[in-house]
Amino acid sequence: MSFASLSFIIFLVCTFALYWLVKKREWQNPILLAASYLFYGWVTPSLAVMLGASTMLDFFLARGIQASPVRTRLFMALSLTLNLGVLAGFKYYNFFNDELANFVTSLGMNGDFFLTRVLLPAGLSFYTLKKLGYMIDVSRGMLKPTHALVDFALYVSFFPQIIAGPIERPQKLLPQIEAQRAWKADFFYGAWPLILMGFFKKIVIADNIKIISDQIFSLDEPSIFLLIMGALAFTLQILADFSGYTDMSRGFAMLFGFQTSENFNLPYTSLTPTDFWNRWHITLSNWLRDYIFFPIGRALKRSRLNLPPWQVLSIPPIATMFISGLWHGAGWNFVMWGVYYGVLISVYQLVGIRGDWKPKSPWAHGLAWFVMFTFIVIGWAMFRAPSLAWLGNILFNEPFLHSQSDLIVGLIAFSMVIAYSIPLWIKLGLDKYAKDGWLTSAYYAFATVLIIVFLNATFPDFIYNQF
Amino acid sequence: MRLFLRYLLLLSILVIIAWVKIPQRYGLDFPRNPGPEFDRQVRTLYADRINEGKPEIVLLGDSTLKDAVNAELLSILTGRKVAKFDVPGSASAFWYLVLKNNIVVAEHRPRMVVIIFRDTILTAPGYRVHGAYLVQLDEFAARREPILLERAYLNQMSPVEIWAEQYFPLYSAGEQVQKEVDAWIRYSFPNWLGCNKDCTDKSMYEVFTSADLEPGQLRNAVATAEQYLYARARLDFERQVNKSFLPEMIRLTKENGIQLIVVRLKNQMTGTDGSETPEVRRYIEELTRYLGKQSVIFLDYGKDPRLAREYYKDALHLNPEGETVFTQILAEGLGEALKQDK
Repeated sequence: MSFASLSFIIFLVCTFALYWLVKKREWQNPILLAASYLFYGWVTPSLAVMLGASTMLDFFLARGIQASPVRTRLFMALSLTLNLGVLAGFKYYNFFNDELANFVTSLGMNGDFFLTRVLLPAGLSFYTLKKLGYMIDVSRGMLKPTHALVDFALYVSFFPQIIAGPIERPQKLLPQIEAQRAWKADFFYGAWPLILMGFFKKIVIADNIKIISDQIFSLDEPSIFLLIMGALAFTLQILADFSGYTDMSRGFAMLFGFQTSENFNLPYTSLTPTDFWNRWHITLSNWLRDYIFFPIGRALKRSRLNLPPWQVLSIPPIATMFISGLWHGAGWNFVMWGVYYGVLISVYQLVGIRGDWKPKSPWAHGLAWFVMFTFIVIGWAMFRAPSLAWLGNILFNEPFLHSQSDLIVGLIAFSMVIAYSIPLWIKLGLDKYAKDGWLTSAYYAFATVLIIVFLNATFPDFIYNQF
Repeated sequence: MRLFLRYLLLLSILVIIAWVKIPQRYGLDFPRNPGPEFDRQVRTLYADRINEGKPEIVLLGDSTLKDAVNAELLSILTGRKVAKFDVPGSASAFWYLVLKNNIVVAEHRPRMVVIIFRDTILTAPGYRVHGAYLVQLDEFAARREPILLERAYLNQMSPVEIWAEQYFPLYSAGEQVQKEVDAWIRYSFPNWLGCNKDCTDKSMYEVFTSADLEPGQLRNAVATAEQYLYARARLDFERQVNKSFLPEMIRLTKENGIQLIVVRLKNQMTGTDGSETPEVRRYIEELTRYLGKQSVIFLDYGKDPRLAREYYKDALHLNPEGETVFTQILAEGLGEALKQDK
């Protein structure tokens, strides 16, 4: 079920009414759990069955760790194998299936079976990380496993978050699930601006800018200039799309009395790659930092390999971002995108520029921002490119401009980026200088009008559903 | 709370302004009929071609037909004059309009209309009816097309959408407002640089329409669009059939003494040789029973092993070798119907 659908609105109203009518937590949680499974299994019920089975297994494995700490490694190995196996199976099967089919055919057998495409269940990447975080924390003794299956299942499947996060940590969400919740008008007053902005970013900005970025990235051999403009358009599109989704997710969670994490903090104002990842998809960055980056760093420091300091400094970010790339998609461009950020983080650190670096001079600040923003756009070009070969062909074989038409189309793309980013700039200014004032109310009213106007159009899915 | 109340107040003012201004600006009357409005002009392109060529067999379909059948070869193999009306991007709504407003009104009456389709497309009336497809439909639609309107548009809308289309200018005029915003953004910047609307449109055409598309992206775009045909609702034959154009197409051909033949062409979307999904299999079984009852000839090549993978250039379209193979297969299949026709 998509947030941007009538069926979701009906679903939300019914769940909301029932949830607050029953008042008691003992009933609220099962209602929310049932609603979450209904939401998740709406199109393909078997996905909800898969989610339920894997949730139960992790629940009992975590209980097993608590009951029998000596078997922690065994239970963790089981959980890792199950979670990563399912994720890898769904995510990377399509990556290798053509080769598999060819191989089987070369053995004289019918390889057609392997050509069937496997559709990645929506949200699998997100809820797998949630469960793994829980299991790792339990195994490290940092978290007491919950004894209530309903609470754990709700933590994993909480419908505002299941499709595209935020990847909430159990330490934050589980205590809220376990606590009593009584209706407060503040829930609504906190939620509506988030939900409204989420729809605005998705329907008015992302879906419109998507048109030009999709067209440019669909071309077989665009010029370098068009590629740059397409990448700029995608830079805006992915921010509006994903942060819009997160806003909605946080708003819906708030309607049910839950405070969930922010995922974006002005990522395109970053001055360094580390700063960028502290501001972009924050819950994923934190997950990767705590469960991949720190353990690798600690292992390297403890190891007897006697690696030179630059390697000790470089390996953790490169390995972490490589895994981040793999998590984002099955394709060499995602891997390359991850490694690219790993290398950028390492280089910045090696030359002494840390994540919290802030130059004093405004010129240096502006230059640092421009350099980092350029790196971000290059990164999105890799991410959005149909393939690395496509990107390489453009960079090495295509001219800067094919014709004057390229220039005109590039300028159209640029003017779209400017036009559709203006509302975000205005919102930024309002948040800083006129929060909760008349101007902010007027902004929301205009945003609502634009949503209604742009609603009467097609609804592409959220980009992050694919991951 | 104050923020919310101020928001409600300002929103109400904006909605009232829109209620007054939008109908004036776009010349719209409210309440208006929901769904698109069609102009009075009906193109007679295919009626003219029928009258000129006097074909006995008319083939109707989308780009898959274009690549699947060699009309000259089919004509030689069957010994009948064949006309091929392949319109890329067309679907059942378009075929219905061509049948209703061109084929059955032509002075020359073909003996057979053969519709080449894939899987659920015949009972998916809402497929390819918006945006550029609407422009395509408008060419062959008359001013009043109640069946088209009902099946392709109104049935696909929720009651809330229908109400908003009728009474709520902000929503109803969304497309016009969007077009205006888009035109402003699209043309302003190039215009300042001396490239007017024509120059901008020409540039857009040169870069996007006439250029080659990246094959992987094209494949993904096709797969995404085709997902519509394989959604649970579309695979429910019983639910779909009476809301589709199929009964109307059957009625029109019967009333005009034309034999309707529907031909299912194999594709590589739902599975490869022999790996059709159970849902598609069930749907096709029900379609077969239905067509049988209606005396429509159904030639099902959806799983034909002769259409091997090497004959496809992508998931849907045959390559030139495949075209020859399929034309021969089709000629063979049509043989039975032609014998009866004699």
